[in-house]
Amino acid sequence: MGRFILVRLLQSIVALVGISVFIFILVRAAGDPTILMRSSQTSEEDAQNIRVQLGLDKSQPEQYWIFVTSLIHGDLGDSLIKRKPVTEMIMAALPNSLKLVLASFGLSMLTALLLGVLGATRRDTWLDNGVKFIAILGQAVPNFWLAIVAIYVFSVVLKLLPTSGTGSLAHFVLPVGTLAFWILPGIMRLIRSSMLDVLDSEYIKLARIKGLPEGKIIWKHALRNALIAPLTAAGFIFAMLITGTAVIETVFSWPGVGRLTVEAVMGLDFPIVQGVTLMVAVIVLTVNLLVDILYAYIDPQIRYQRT
Amino acid sequence: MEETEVVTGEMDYGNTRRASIFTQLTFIIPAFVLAVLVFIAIFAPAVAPHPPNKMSLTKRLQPPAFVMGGSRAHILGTDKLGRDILSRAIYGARVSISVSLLVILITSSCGTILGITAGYLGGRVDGLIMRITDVSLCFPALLLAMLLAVSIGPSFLTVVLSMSILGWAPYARLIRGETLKLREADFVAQARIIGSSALRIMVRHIFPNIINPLIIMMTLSVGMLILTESTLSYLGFGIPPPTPSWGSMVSDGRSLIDRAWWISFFPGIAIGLVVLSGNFLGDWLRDKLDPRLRQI
Repeated sequence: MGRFILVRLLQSIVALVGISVFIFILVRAAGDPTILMRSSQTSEEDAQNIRVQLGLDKSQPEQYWIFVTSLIHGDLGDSLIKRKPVTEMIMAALPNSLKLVLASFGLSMLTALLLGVLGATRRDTWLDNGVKFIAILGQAVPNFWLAIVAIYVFSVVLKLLPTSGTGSLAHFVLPVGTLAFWILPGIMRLIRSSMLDVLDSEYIKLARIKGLPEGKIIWKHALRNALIAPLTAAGFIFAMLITGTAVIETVFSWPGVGRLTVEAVMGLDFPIVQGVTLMVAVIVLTVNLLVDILYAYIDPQIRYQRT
Repeated sequence: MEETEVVTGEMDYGNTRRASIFTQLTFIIPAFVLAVLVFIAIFAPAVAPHPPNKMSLTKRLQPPAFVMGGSRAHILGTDKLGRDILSRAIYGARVSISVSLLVILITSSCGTILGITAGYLGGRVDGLIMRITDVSLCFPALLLAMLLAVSIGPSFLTVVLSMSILGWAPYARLIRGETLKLREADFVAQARIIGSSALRIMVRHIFPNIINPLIIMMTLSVGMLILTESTLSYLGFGIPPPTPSWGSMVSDGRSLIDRAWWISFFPGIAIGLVVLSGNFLGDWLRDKLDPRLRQI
C-alpha cells in the first residue's frame, strides 16, 4: 500500500510538471504581454523596462524556472488589468464559489441518493420512469439556457427571486438550483444502476432471508456498497462541477472564481487564467490521487493492477 | 463519459408490439431530427428566410409570429439588432455540426490508435498512455478552452483544438478495454503464431472487431460535443461573432430576458433537441449493435 501511494504521488507530480510546462508554452505563445499593457504614450524604452521587470529578457528555461519557483511560493503573478496579485484575487473570489459549489453538490447528492435508490427499488413504476425522463432531459438541455429560463420564470414572470448578484439567501436559490440540476442526472444514474447491481447480489438475498426489515436492507446494506460506483466517478463529477460553476456564475453575475476567469479571458488577462488553470490542475490531481488511494484501500486488486 | 442508460432496452424483454413500436420510434424520430439538421445546415442559404446578419433597426425585438405583436415575416422574432432569430438558428446549425463532426473525427482516430496500442502492447506503454488518459478524463475541457482562447485567441481552430486535446481520452479507455478482451482471443493467437507483426495484428485483426463500440461511442458523443460547443460560445470563447452560433444567441438574450424571452429561448430548444436526438440515437445503436456496452 505504501509503495502504491508513493508511485501514485510521483505520477501526479510528473503530471503536474507536464501541465505547468504546457501552460508555460501556451502563455509564451500568446506573444508579448507589453502590447496589452502599453498605452499610446508608452515608449519602446518603457516597454523594454516592463519586459525586464517581468523577466521576459531571460532565456526560456530560466523563465520557466522563475515561473515554477514563484509558483511554489504561491505567487501567481499580477493581473495585467487590475494590477493586483492573482493569488489575492482568486482568494477573494474563492469563498463565493465554494458556497455555491458546496450547496449545489450537497443538494444534488441528496436528491440523487433519494431518487436513485427509489428508482432502483421501484423499478419500472411511474416514479422510476419519471425520474429517468427528467434525467434524460437534464442531460440534453444546456445549463446556461436552463438558468436563463429559470430567471425568466421565477424572476421576470413570478417576481419571486432576484435575477442575479449575491446578498440574501434568495440569491442562492436559482444558481444553486440550476447548478445542482446540471450535475444531478449523472450521479443519479450511477447510483441507480449500481444499486440495481447490488440488490441482485447474494448478500442482499441473505439479508432478506435473515429477515431484516426492507428499509434497513436498502438504506444500510445495499446503499453502502452502491456508493462505490459514484466514488470512482468522483473525478469526472468534479470536472463537471467546475465547468458548471463557471457557466452558472457567469449567468447570475456571481462574484466567484468562474466569473473572474471568464472575464479575464475576455480581457486577455492571462496571469489570472493561468493561475486558475494551475490551481484547478492541482485540485483535480489531488482529488484523483485521493480517490485512487481510497479505492485501492477498498479494493485490494487495484493496488496490483494499476501500479 | 456519461453513464447513459436505455429506456427502450428495458421495455424490450416482453417483445410486445407496443415496445417494438416504441423502439422503432426512438430510432426514427432522432434520425429524422439529425437528418433535417444536416440538411438545413448544408442548404442554409436556401432554407433561411433572411440573411443571418441582416440588421434592421426598425424591426428590433419583434416577438415571434404566434405572440401578440409578432409578424409572419419573422416567425421566431428578431433580436436587439433586428436580425431574424430563425435564420440565425438555421445558420447556427452549421457551426454546431462542423465543430462536432471535426472533433469526432480527430478524437475517435487518436483515441482508437492510442487505445489499441495501449491494450495490445501492454506493459509500460499501456501504463503511460492510461495515466495520461486518466488525467485527461478529469481535466475540465472548459479550462483548456479558456487557456487557448486567451493565448491563441478565439477562432474555429481554437474551439476544435480545445475540445480535441482532451476528447480522445474516453475513446482510448473504451478501445483499450475492448482490445484487452480481444488480445486473448484465438484468432489473435493464431495470427501471432503465423508470424504476423504487432502492427498488422492491431490493424487487420483487432481494429475490425472494435468498430461497433467505436461507432456507438461516436454517436453518443455528438450530444456532449454540441453541449460543449454551445457552452464555449455562450461564454464568448467559441466561434467569434458575427458568425451565428446557438450558444452566443442564447447569450445575446440574457440581458434582455425581461423584455424579449424569445432571443434566448429558441436557440436553447434547438440545442436540447439535437442533443436529445444524438443521445437517443446512440442508445438505440448500442442496443442494436452491442447491448453489453451499457456502461459507456
